[in-house]
Amino acid sequence: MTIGRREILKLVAGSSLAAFAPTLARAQTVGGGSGYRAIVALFLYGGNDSNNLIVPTDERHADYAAARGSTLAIPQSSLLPLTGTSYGLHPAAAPLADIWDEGALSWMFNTGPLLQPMTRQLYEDRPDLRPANLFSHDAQQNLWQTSGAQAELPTGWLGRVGDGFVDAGRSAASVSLSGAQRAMIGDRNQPLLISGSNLSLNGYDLDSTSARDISRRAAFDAMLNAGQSNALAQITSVIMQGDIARGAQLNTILNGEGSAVDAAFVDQNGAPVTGSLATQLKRIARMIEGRDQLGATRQTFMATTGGFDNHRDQVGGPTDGLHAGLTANFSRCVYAFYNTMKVLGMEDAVTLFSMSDFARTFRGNGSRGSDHAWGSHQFVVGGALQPRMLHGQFPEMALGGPDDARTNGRWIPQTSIDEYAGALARWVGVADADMPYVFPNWSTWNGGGRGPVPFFA
Amino acid sequence: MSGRPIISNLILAMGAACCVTGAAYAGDLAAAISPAARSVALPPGGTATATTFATVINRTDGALGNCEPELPGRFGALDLSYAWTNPADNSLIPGSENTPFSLGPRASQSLVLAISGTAAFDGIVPPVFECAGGATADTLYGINTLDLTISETAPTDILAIGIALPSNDGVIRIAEAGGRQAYAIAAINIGADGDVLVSPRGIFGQNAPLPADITICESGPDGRCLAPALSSLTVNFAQNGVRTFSVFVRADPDIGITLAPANTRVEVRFLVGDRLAAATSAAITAPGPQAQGDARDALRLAQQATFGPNQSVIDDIRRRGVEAWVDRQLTLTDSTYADIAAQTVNPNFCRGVPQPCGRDHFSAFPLQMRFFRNAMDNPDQLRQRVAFALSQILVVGENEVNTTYALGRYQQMLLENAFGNYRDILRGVALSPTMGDYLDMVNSRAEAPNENFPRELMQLFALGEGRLNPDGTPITDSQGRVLPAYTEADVVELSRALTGWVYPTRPGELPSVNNARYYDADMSVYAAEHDSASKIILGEGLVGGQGAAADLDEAIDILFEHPNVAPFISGQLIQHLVTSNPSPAYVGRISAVFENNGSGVRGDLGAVVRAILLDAEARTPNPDLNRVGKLREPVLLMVSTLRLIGAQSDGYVFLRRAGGMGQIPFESPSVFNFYPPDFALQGSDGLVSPSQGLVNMSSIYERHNVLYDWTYNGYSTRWDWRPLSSWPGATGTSVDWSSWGRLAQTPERLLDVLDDIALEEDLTALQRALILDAMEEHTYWGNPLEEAQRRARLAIYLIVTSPSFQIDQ
Repeated sequence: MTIGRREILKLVAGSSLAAFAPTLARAQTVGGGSGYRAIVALFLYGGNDSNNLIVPTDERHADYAAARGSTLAIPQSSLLPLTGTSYGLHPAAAPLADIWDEGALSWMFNTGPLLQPMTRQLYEDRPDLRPANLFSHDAQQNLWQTSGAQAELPTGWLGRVGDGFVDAGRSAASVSLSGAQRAMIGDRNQPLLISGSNLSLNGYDLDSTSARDISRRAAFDAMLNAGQSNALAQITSVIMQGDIARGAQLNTILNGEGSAVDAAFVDQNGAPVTGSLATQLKRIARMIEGRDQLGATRQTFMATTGGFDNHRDQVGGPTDGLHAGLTANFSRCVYAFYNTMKVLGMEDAVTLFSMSDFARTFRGNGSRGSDHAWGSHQFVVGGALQPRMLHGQFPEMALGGPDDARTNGRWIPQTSIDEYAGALARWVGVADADMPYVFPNWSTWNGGGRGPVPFFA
Repeated sequence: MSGRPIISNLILAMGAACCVTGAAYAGDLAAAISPAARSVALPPGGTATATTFATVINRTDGALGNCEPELPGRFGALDLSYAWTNPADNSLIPGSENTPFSLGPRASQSLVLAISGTAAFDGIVPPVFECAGGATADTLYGINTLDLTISETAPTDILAIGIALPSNDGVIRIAEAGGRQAYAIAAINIGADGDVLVSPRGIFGQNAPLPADITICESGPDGRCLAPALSSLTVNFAQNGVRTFSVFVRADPDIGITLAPANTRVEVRFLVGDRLAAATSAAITAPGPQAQGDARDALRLAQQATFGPNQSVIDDIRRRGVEAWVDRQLTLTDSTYADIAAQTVNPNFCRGVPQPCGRDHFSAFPLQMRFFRNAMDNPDQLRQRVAFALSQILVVGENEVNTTYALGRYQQMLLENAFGNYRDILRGVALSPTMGDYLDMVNSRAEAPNENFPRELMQLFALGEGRLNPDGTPITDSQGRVLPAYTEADVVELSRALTGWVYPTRPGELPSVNNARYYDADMSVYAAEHDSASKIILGEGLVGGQGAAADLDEAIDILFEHPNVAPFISGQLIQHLVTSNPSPAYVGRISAVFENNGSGVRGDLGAVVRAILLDAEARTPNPDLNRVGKLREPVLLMVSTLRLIGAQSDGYVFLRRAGGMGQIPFESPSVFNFYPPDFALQGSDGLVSPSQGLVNMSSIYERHNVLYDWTYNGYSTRWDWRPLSSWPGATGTSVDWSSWGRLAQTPERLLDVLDDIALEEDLTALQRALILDAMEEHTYWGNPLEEAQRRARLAIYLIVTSPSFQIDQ
């Protein structure tokens, strides 16, 4: 069931979504195809143990193995060599190695929330300079998503990127496939939140002309659109109205026939990739495929997957266990997504990047798992990247050493989230002058030898 | 005997109705038909005719002319003829066949109707009485409709030919609260002989049971029972046989019955097999405690303290009074998971055993079925609401601990302590092997203490992340940054204090450092794994060497005594029960009760909950409109809808539909619950709306579609209402729409009722007009009672899917 443009305008007229109307009008004049860019955030909830995702394969491996301990350390022979480097990947991340070989994957070493550049000495002497609530899931997820460093901000950096797009009249600027995410909340920007497949109201058929249906729709609309007496109800009601309007439009894009995505979302062996994360990424791909219908030219997307909080039983043997399973899943999904972008011809226009609460303690705990750490390794995927780059500074793997905030391997990040995310924000279209709005601490991280990570050519 | 006494009783009752309920609920005409049911034989190749008497009243002060009865167009196979009768003796007035009549102001006309057909027929025929100018009578099932059966075999055709009420006015009038009234019915069989089930029943409002006990006996010529009165009886009627019955009605002393003849009646039905052969009914009224208290306040309290308001709950609150109702709720203990918690099994119990073993012993399913069944039916609604809130603060989830009895034991602890002391809850949670498994405190060892539970104990269960004033506002430093409630060092120290606990030892086994998973007692100490050195937590020192149990107790005490606990827990309980953005003053008042319940006790949840509900901010009819409001979370939205319509459910339907809205009890995606307490409402000036965290484009549709399915599309064989065959005692879900259908015969009254029991704000004139218009457009061929039920379902659908229903004020 589709909603005609006229109907959408009627539905949004007089509501705070009136901004939606001009963007639809604008969509008629903007051409499709060229000038489109999108970034896709993949959030690994719980704190991904990236210390085991990418591991040195040179003489440093001995330090790694000694410090991690035999329960957690991956043997050198099991690591998948990353072509042209002295690093190897967790065997379950084989699909990522393939993307690396194609020149479409880069690594970001040891990044995380920082108020300012930090050393071990400074960490001990100046607790006031530490980011807020380190090692707490909730707080660190918030800092990654809002880039606040010392304050947990109410809006997210992706949401603030979207604010700029909304101000410029772009539509569908931010889309979450994983429900309400802090990263997506902006001030003027209202993210589209999509998680189910049925985006139509039972029994509400705009095309029906029977007296019964017309009268029922009229009564339903009167109930839905009525002004509410209190502020919370009024705002919530308006959000409901907007969701219903937009959902109908999206329904065709997400669930219609004739999409190239389903056949393209496959692993290296051509097998379809399924699961909850796969479904999110496939829907993102469908929306990218349908960008012209939405009139979208600059977009931010977010998908998430969880279960990474492996305090226990992280590894069964050296290369199986919970973490291996999680790694295999997201690696396959990322591969399938990149493959789909190639099939759609959009691989240069779309960049996917990972985030996670934190890495995990280098030294495990007594339950065959690991606890919360700080600086983590992340990966970025896309055709626009400078191929096969290792960005940032790999930590010295010494427990209690100069890179360790404590004694069990909680690496102090050498690159801030602002520099990592800032590079992606600049690429997707945030102007220089707007960067401080998106990243409140931008002045600390731009200039004097610091700045956005040079992912792109 | 003639039919006159029955007709005049009906008319008198309708006349009484006019002045009690007001002209708004009836047409310009009132009409009554008696007998209300006829069954006639169809001669081969011939015509069958059923006669019945009717009376029409002009309820206006103006004269009406050219009045006549007609059948609606869809009854083309039947033919209606009529003639005028003498009201004194029902004799036919010659020359009046099929002649329209006039009605002076407040005048009435008696008629005999003859409805005939040439083919078999079984249905309800609603003659339409109409005068020039459009004056009509509302169709009221059982009052001016004819239940007609035309069959080829001679049916048993019962005429209920007499009803003798002591008050002689068509109304069963019970004199005092809890009093009794008796009346007599006579019936004759003018068809073939057969067995007849004589069955009385009460008709009352919308699916609430008539608060009266009704029994019937067959009586002899002196009116005395031939056998003790029963709830119903079966007698054999010979052809032309006459039998008399006595009906006894005893009213509930605690509940008054207001006179409402259209839908508050006692009906005696004569059933031959499935077929209704005859029915006779009378209105009823009884004195008793009337709903006194403010209706809207009762509705709001029901929203705050139960799983959803309906007529019964609101009336109960109004009769008892708000405070007495709350106090009574604090004493109720009907709901339990204890039996589920007692079904201990070993971890390999289902190995090699087919389903449903896994479902019944290694999933939350049995607990969830019990949760929903209790929420629908059990009277201890407030206890269940508070336990549900606690389960969303001190979270354990099936995704990490799926042993059913373990989950049952944990939730039973929360349920039992819902009005107990919060310190007992903290201690119970810390010692629970279910929580120990969920957050990894079990088997935490001195050489590498696990920080997961200690961190969440402080962050989520006791203190929160930032320091709080007693009124819940954050304490900040000179630069406006919130002071942390605890430090990383505290987490480390608390982890050390909580080392050395293992699963309790299974019966018949020896204690070991690697005790097998067993959840049927508190965790046990394994001293060698406990970090016995001294610790400092939140500035308080724990002496070394006192052992794990003493360390745990003292650590719990330190946390419990922290000034953050009162506002942190009180604020969240207010959010779960009453409103998402309580004023700091409100939080402050409740924190004070948490700190001291008035008798020097800290942490008294019963006192806290009582104070929350009785606080002026919860009870005020004039709340701060910039602050008040609470979006119903999916569980409450679903259960409140089925409670409103009076569904019977074993709970399974909720589990079938809850997934799309993202909230399945005991299946939180993480220890951070389905949504955070501080979820910011986008576009508002600093308001939070926790359950908005579950609102997204598809859950919006799901919220609508589930409610649509259960109301507008709520037919009895719905897929999600079917019982689960593999669940013992499964009954599925069912709704008896007939009472709603009766109400919908007077659509304005239906909307008034829905306004009163479902919506805090009245429907606007426009909304009423559009809903009534839609109801009128929904016509159904055939059964007018079915039509009325469909219209009721439509109106209910429009109400429950609206923002006004989904958002509490």
